[in-house]
Amino acid sequence: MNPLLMKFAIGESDGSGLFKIFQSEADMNPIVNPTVFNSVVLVLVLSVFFIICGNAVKKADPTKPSRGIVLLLEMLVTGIEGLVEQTMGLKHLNFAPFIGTLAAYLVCANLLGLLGLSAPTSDYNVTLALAVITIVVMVGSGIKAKGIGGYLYDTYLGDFPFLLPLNITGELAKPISLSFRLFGNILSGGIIMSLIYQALGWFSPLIAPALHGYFDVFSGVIQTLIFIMLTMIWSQGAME
Amino acid sequence: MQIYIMPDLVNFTLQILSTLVLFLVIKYFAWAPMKEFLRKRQELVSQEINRAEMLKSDAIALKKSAEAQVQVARDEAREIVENSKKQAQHMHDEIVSNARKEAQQKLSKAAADIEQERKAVYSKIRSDIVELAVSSAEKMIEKEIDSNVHNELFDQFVAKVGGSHE
Repeated sequence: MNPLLMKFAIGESDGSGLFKIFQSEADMNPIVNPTVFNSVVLVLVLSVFFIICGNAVKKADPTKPSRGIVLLLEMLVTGIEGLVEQTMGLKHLNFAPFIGTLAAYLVCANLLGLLGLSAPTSDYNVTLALAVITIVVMVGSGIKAKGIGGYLYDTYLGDFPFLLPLNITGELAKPISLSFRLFGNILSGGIIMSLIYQALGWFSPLIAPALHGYFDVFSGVIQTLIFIMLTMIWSQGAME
Repeated sequence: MQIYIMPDLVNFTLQILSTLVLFLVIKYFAWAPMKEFLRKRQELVSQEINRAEMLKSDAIALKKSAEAQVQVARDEAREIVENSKKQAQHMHDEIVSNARKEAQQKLSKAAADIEQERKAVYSKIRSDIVELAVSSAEKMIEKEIDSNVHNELFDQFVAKVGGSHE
């Protein structure tokens, strides 16, 4: 058996097995991190999945109850639109595809740890990129709604101009807190899990599943929810 | 386990681009068809509701007209019954009065017949008595008496005797 394939089949403790197939062993300092590589693969898989879903929806009969992937997509769309409507109001429903993208990507990325791969969100590049996109959306929608002057005035001066330093700090903290919260939660979950695997050795199959349930499933879903809720609340706050 | 905490341009840009690609794919290849699908379904549902609403109002109108027809039929039936009752009463009265008239006629005819009969019987009895008297008188006086001559005489006699029977 090819030693590279072997490595992938057995899996490595750092969860980069999939990535290592695509590089030579001599190349120890890759340009692309394995986490970001996993992320790109995940994006491709999700894109293909959503295109298949969209085609299935185009062929689906609206008079009959949805089934299979059509139902899955319907649940995602109606669920996210309900959440957006609740949080941001009916007139900002055009945010729903963006929020849905974040939700679908983050849930899958956080749950990638369950497959023995390193979660893309345990790489600061990934979470920073997502946070920057969110902040750009937030500032952009604020400027679109109120103009540059109006947005800057409302955000930094507002009713209490003496709070300007605090407001600047708060706005700067937004991308940092958003990216580091997700990064820290997922990374610490991964570290704890690898420590547990090393500590328990052959007993790990008895204990690890419950801990995966907490660190990967629970934490991953909660962090996704927090990320999209903050995105919605901040964007709405920037527009109001 | 390696920790990737220092962002670098390549990975960061790659992540931004892939996220944008995912966003565009979801927005145009999944979200838009799904919205269209939901809109179609919404349309169908509202069409169905409108149709049901229309059918319901039709049914209510039909029910009302049927009720009105039933009311008309009921009134007509009552009228018919009343008319026939009246007619029956009328016929009854007519029959009874005819019968009464007929009975009256028959009664008076019977009375006349009886009177006539009585008169006939009376005259017969009288002639019998006359005959009897004549024959008894013949026997008494042993002599032929011309009954024709003395009939009148006996009539007077009978009238005197049976005056109370007249």
